[in-house]
Amino acid sequence: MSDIFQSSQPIYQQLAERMKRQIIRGELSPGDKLPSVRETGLEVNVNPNTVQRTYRELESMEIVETKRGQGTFVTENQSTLDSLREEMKTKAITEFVQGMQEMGYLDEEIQSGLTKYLKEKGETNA
Amino acid sequence: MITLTDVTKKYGSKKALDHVNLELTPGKLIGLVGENGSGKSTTLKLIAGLNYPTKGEIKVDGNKVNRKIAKSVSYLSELDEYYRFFTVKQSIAFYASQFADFNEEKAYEILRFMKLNPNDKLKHLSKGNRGRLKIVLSLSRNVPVILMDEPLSGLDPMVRDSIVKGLISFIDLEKQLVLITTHEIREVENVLDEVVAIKDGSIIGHHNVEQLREEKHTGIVDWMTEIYG
Amino acid sequence: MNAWLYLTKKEFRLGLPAFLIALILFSGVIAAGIIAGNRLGFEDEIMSVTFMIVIALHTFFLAFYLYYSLNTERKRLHLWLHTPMSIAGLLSSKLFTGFVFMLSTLIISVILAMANLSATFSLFSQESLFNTLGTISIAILLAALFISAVFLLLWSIFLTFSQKWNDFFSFLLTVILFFVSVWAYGSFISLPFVQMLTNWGGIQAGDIITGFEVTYREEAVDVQTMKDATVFYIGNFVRDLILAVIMFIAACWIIERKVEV
Repeated sequence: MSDIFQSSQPIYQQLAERMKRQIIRGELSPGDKLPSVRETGLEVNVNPNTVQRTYRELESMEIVETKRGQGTFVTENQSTLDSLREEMKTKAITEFVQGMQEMGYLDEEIQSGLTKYLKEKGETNA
Repeated sequence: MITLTDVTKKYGSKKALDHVNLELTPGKLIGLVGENGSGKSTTLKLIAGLNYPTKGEIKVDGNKVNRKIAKSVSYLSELDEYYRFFTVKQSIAFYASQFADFNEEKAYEILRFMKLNPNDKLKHLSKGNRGRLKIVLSLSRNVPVILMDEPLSGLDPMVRDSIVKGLISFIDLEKQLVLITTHEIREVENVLDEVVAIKDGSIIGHHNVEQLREEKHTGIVDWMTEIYG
Repeated sequence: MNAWLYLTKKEFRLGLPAFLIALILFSGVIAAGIIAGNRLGFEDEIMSVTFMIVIALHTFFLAFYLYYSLNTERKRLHLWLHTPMSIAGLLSSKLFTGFVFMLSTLIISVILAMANLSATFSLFSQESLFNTLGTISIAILLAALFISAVFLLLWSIFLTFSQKWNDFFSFLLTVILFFVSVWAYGSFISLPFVQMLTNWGGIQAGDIITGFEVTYREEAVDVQTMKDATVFYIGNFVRDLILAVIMFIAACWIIERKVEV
């Protein structure tokens, strides 16, 4: 189970990242109640204190909100979710492009490669 | 809250602990790691009041520790010893009778979680199930301090996983402090709040695990390799 | 209190094998008596002796029981000692269960002996038989308790030694300590001053055996001297009782403070 997370990075950040992805993928919809701290901890084998910290982190980003006595819910604020989606996209692209550039690819090469890949992938899927 | 102030423990002429100072705060799962014979078990026994320091002082919640601290400390030994004539159910009833804070309802909940049969005799249990039962018995008490000496050692991965999951599910991290010694660091490294490393009877490191990852970009295993050098 | 009762229930179960061992031993002695009686004749006389042996063996039953029970706990001291209960509570639970086990076989043995003796020796009146066996039983129970207190103290001392040295050396040391203490205690209680304090409330042993002289009138002089020689003092009994309590408390103190898991 430990292979979900890298041991050299803070688990709470990795877990926050994981939950953001779940939200973007729609596994967690706006207004959904998050599992309790303990349930999440159990699911990913992580200390409930760490999960608590993740929830606080997400709360400070206004991605989730805690309602007293009811639990923690995914925000229904669409603009927050849109910007999360945008932010995650930018982040993924940044990582990808940085990787390519490190290997010495030029911007045009990256762009054309990406277009070609997407086109071929679209054909096979069709 | 556990405090060890300048604690030295000698067995005969052999020093098991050497001027140890340690402060552990509630609401945390703390791992005590180190090689065999480094003083892990001794530390736990001292906190449980089952051993006495040669020098120095140990306090749990402000009370000086002696054997009667069993009232607020739940201690799980590394030894695979039981009253083997009991059934699982009888063990639970016995513990419930001896410890006023023992929560029988919780015990049966953990029992179900661990998939143990209440009517099995202890002498017929597999080693893995005996390991699980120990967890049931020590986690079912509503105590401020739980001490677990090598709860994972010698058990197969399935059992270890169920025990780690048991810890996550049944420890009350609002109130309880859990101190656990283990060799299986990878198994528990994601569930520990803090890690204390001990070597030759001295504490050589005490960290918040997430902080370790955040500031030094290192996990417990790498950190240990580094400090044990 | 409830905790103690549950603990005692556990002790009954834990000590059961010791009881069974004693039962087998007693049965063995009785079986040997029956066989010997068949071979040699004098069945009734031999059986009387046999029952007396069985009754006498009870003197050591409690100490044996404690030895068995505590030796079993020694392997799992972390379980036995990890409890808010006092050591006195832990030990008294063992003493109590051992005592109940002991009483159950002692009563049976006494009844068997009584039936046998009254059938064999017509010279005893029913009353004196009852008195004799009753006195012997009480003496055995008290002796058993005293020996147990001695054993508990020695065991706690042995356990303390064994934390520093190996079992053999610790045992040796405990045995030496035992003999030195017995010698010292013996010298102490035979001091005239101590005797003066403790030799009160004398009971003539012969008073118990009523109707004995009638049959043995010719030897009345001898019986008289025997009677004089055998005087029990209640004062001595009180002295031993106090010592037993002190030893018990000392054992508790040692286990509480000195014994480590």
